[in-house]
Amino acid sequence: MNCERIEELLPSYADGGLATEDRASVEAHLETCRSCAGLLVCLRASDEALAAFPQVDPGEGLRERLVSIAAPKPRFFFFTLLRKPSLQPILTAATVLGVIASLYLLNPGRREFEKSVVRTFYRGVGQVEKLYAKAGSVTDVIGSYAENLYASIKSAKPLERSKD
Amino acid sequence: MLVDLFSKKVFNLAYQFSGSYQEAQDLTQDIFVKLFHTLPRYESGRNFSAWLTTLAKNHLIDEYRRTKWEKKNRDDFDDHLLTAAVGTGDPEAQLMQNERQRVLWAGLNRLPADIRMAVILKEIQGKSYEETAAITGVPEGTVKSRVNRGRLQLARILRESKESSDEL
Repeated sequence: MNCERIEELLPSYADGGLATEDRASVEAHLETCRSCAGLLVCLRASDEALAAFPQVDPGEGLRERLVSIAAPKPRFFFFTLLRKPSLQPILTAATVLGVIASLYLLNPGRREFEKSVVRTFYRGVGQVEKLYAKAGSVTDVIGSYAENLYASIKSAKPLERSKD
Repeated sequence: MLVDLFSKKVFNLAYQFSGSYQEAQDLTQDIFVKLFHTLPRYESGRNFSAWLTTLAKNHLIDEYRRTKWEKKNRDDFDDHLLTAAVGTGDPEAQLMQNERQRVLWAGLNRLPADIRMAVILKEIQGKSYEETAAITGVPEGTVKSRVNRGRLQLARILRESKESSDEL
């Protein structure tokens, strides 16, 4: 066997997996060939070094990234929508309105409350009407004053120049 | 939890295959995204570790084929591996071992993707031929052939390195 063929057999020879005949041929060749014997030494050293390769720590940053991938995603679109920051003011306003509406609708003294609201409303309307009537009389008085003033100005004679 | 149990294993497979710490982090992330998407298709009763390793191997090979022209350099051995190496107690033997590992680490890049993967799974990760065949999806005889070719190539690289350092 030539060196090329022996080299191909070296890994199996190193593992002890060659048939008796091939093993004898390899051993006979190795006794006379320094190059192949040197390669066998390197092969064994290489196997040993590969088996002892260190396991590297992936780092905490990667672990956090992987955990965030593994975190369960919200299943329903509705919940995703509720979490949107842009919708928070609208949702807050809707909640406040809802609370006020429920306080009103579920209040047992609602009728009394309604009556008091109506009473207050009509009282307010009455006061506005009174104010409006007063305002009307004031405008009448002012109008009569204005007419009198206009008449007196019209009837007054212009001043004559004193003759020297 | 899956992340705690398998992240280191997947990361090291990605690191040994790609040779870049940064890229291995990204690849591990991609593999876990795929894992969580395909998890509903996992058949209970199957070996989960082997199933995940197959998923990781497929992704690594696909990525390598897609972007292999960009993968020219590996990180220096000293960057992360040297600090993670466990000492044997004999400083001189440890130094020699580190030197060999440094040469082999760089030499992995000279192996074709399929052979590199077979060597990593069998020789570095310590899987059996049967397990490696199941992960790679090729017959056991093909795995043996790939592993032996890879080992022989790495032994030649080690010999070259030794000869060049002897000449100096």
